[in-house]
Amino acid sequence: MIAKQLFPDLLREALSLGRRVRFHAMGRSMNPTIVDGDAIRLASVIPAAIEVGDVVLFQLPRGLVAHRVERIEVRQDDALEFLVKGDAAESTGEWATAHEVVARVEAVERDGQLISLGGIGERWRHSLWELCAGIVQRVRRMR
Amino acid sequence: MEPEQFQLRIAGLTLQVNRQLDGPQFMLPMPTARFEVEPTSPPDAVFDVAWADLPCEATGRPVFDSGGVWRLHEQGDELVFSLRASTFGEQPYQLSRCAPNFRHGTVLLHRGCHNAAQPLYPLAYPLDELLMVHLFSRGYAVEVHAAGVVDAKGIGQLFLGASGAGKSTTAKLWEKEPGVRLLSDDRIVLREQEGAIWMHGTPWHGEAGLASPDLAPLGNLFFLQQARENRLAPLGGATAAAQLLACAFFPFHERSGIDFTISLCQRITRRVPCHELSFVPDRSVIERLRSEGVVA
Repeated sequence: MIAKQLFPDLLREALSLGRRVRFHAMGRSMNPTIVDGDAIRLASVIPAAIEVGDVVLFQLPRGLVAHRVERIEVRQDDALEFLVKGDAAESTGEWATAHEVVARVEAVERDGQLISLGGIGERWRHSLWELCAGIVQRVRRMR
Repeated sequence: MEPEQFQLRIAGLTLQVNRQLDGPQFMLPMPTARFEVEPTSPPDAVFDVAWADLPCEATGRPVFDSGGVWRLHEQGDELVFSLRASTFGEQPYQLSRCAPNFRHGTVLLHRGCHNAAQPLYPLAYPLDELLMVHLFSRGYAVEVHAAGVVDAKGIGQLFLGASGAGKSTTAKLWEKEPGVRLLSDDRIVLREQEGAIWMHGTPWHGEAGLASPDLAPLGNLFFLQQARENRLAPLGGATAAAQLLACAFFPFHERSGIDFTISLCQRITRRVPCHELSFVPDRSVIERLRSEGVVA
């Protein structure tokens, strides 16, 4: 059992090493994009590369939250702030800082299917990565 | 043979869902399945489910846009919820046409957005909650953002607050106490029944995943606030009613629903002791409430 406080740090560490990370998401605030029990695939992201519409994993005071970015604002000190909201949440959203960004949610695994959450560019990158990963696996098996 | 209908009973109200000819196969996910009942008595509301090819454009008078997945339009004498998600494209993945009294309606699922080979839950969140919240507001009940604990004497203790206030934390603390039951760690329905206020569990749980179809007479309302020390302060009058209303789910777009909810919140806070509870997220808060003689 990993301590709740350690988990985001472990995620960041694994992503910074170029690892792909997936874990099962709980909750219903992102229905139907992310359904309770879906496995979400994460990718490393720098806050400046986040766009409105991205689904991002944040480490908020209440815990880890994967929500959609509704608005991005630049503060007077040039720091970024993100208005985030669950697709199905009955709220006006909440603000998160750049320091609270953990990763971008790039895909969801459900019933054996992979659903990409990015746009066309992201889907291409994702497909390319999958292809490369498949080739690497085959080469390893051949050895 | 897959079931062609099911009934859910939430807060004493029964919703029957029928599969229309060639409609989708049904399944009930946990914890919603705990709320299924045998269809013995006439339901309070009936919804028919079918596949459809839904158009991208909504027609009718716009009534409310949630800013999230659902929008509400008025078409003739029907209220129409359309639910969209960018994952599924421009057209709604789900649409529900409802009678103004929410006693009957239809749920249409866009074929291209679902795997027809697999059984599905046709009222996938947030539609199930939307339909029930609208039905509650027709003079029955109010759903609130709260954790519901039934203490060792069988009295309902309600811990209210927005996301992050400590509802799931509170529920987890109480879960370890002997003789205590949990109805929900996120959503509770309050109803006036048999001359008392009752709290009911719902399927819509929070982080702790606690959801029970059970009920209990309501003993206290605690408005949560995380703090460095435990402190209990009485709350009354309009302040208590306003705080309860701030934690309530109701149709913001309907005057009659708003009037009913405000009135019910006032009646609840007049009858049930209300407190502001600043708390440290550990067991000491339970000891404090017990030492004050508020909770068993």
